Amino acid sequence: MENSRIKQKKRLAALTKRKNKAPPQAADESHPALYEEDELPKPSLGGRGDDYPSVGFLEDEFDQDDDEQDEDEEDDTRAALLSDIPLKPGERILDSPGAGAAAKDGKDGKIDEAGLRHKLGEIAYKVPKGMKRVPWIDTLAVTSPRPAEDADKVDHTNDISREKLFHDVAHANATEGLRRLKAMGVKFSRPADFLAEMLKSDTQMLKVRAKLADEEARIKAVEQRKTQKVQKKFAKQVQVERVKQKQMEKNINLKKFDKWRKERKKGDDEATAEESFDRFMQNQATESRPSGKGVKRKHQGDADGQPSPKRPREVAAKPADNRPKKGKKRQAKDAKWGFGGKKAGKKRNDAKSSADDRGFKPGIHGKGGKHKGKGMVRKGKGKGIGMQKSR
Amino acid sequence: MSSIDEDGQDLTTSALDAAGDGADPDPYLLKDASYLVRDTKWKNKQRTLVFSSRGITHRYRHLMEDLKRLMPHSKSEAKWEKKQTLRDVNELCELKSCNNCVFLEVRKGRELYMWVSRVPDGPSAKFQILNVHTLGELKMTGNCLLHSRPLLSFDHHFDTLPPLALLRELFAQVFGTPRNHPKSKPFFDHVMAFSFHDNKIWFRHYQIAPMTEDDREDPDRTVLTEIGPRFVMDPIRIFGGSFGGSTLWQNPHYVSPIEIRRRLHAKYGKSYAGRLLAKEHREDVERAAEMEEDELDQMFD
Repeated sequence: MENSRIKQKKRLAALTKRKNKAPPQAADESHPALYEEDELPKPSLGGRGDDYPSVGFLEDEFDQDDDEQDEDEEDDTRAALLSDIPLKPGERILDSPGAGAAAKDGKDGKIDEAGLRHKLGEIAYKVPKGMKRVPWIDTLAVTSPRPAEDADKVDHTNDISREKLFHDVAHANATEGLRRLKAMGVKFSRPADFLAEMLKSDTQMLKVRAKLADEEARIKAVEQRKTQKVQKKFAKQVQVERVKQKQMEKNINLKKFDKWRKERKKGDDEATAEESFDRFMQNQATESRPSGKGVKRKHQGDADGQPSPKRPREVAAKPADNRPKKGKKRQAKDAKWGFGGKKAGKKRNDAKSSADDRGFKPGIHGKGGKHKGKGMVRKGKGKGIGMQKSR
Repeated sequence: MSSIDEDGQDLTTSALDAAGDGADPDPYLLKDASYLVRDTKWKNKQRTLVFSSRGITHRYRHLMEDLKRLMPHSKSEAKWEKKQTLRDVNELCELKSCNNCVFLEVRKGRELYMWVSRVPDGPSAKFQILNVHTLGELKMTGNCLLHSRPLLSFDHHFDTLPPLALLRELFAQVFGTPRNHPKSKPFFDHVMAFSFHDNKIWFRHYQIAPMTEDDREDPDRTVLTEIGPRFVMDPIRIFGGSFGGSTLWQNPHYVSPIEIRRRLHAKYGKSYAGRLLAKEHREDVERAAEMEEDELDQMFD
């Protein structure tokens, strides 16, 4: 007990010291804007305190008059005494005017609670005769009950959560209001056939709707574009797969055909080339082409199901797929020169080709042959006219 | 059903009696039928004068027009000359037989202040209006009947904080449409919401619509769509009188735009102050680095 009293005395001493040191007009000087804004006289109400969470609990008040300061000191000591009990957030000391003054920016919030109450009583609707209270339908004001604690923690810089908070509170209040109206037997929903002037004109609503539609269309378009992109990618992959598949099929068929040719070369088969090839083709068809397209094509070839005889070379070029048929001219050319296969080594000379002199014509290629053309024949290096002179 | 039938018979018999007597202005005795009488008398004669000072910008003018459109009990007035004192507004209101006033004051063509006042004895409150969105904007898609009475929604702070309790009463009288006002329409399809958040009062205006056509007259199945306008009221002070008087409450969290600009300029001014400081510091360093003259320096000269 003794100990705590000493503590309080010390605190009081420190407090008064601080007060004496402080410049009396500091707040007014550093914040000219406080009174620049209002042409009205400075508030001189002594009573202060407010409901904001107290920040500067023992903050000095620089803008007080001297005689007020004495009173304030007393208040502050009382506050100091009470301050030994820690306050919970939101709590405040009711009878100390200095308590809870948020001295943010050096400004003090002034509050005259009695005056506020008095004015409220003055302007409030009077209770009609024979009634307990002012009928709610006169004001239509609904105040929401105290919500859960986390409602106050909504970040005011976050538009969505803040607007949601406002919306939810308004919705709850509106529902409550409508319930009261329903209890009173007052109709609140506008019937569909009740047509009257609206707050927003029809042209305005048309614009609003057009904008909404436009926005929706834009969102739709963006989504469509996205899906198209994905589809395109997918289709490309499918195409690549198909080409690969075709290539593989072709290779397999070619291999089979080669096998057949080798077997024929061995001479085991007594049949003619045509017959043997037809048999090979039939085997192929029964073996690996159950698909509708292949069957169809087979029927196309001949009326009675027999594949038409074809030259082996041509069929090799068309490994059992449905490419367009070759024209006659092309067929003739292919017969003459052949086609397909490796090209890289074909045009290269080798020992055999260089020894071959069938294409050599001495009139064209040989030395001292007949000179064709109109141009002058060069004599060769160092044999010109000018050269001889200079020597 | 049977009781109604009886009533009907009674009425017809009395009507016949009346016809026998001669001309009866109320043959069906509707005057006495208390269940049919509705209280349609306009008793609460609130009138609000809504006007602005000279120098109002287009956006604020639109807001003012929106407010007027929201309040069937409002009256308009020419722009207020800046030279006139605010106290004279009380006289103007009296001339216009208004007992409330919403006065929009524009300063420097930028800042909007709103006075909400009860004339002539107060109280009055001064706000700075921030973040104005008007009815003309296309983002808010709701709509409601013109001049139907709005529900007024206040959040729980208006119950707990004394200055806000006073403001609630003031707003309810100034912005709320009086019952049975001749211009007002039946049905309740919109709500004005006042929320106290971040030490400011946020005004929102929503449409109340039934979720589906079948949900008419069902208070629990409604959807709220914002109509507009929306704005934020940063309270500055509450005065005891109308446009003046003793201060009942002053907002400690309010920072005036001039102060904000001053701080901004101070921030820009800092670079010069920094240069000065650096120069001073440099001089100090150089002075400290100076060595005392030594005898030995001259030895070999």
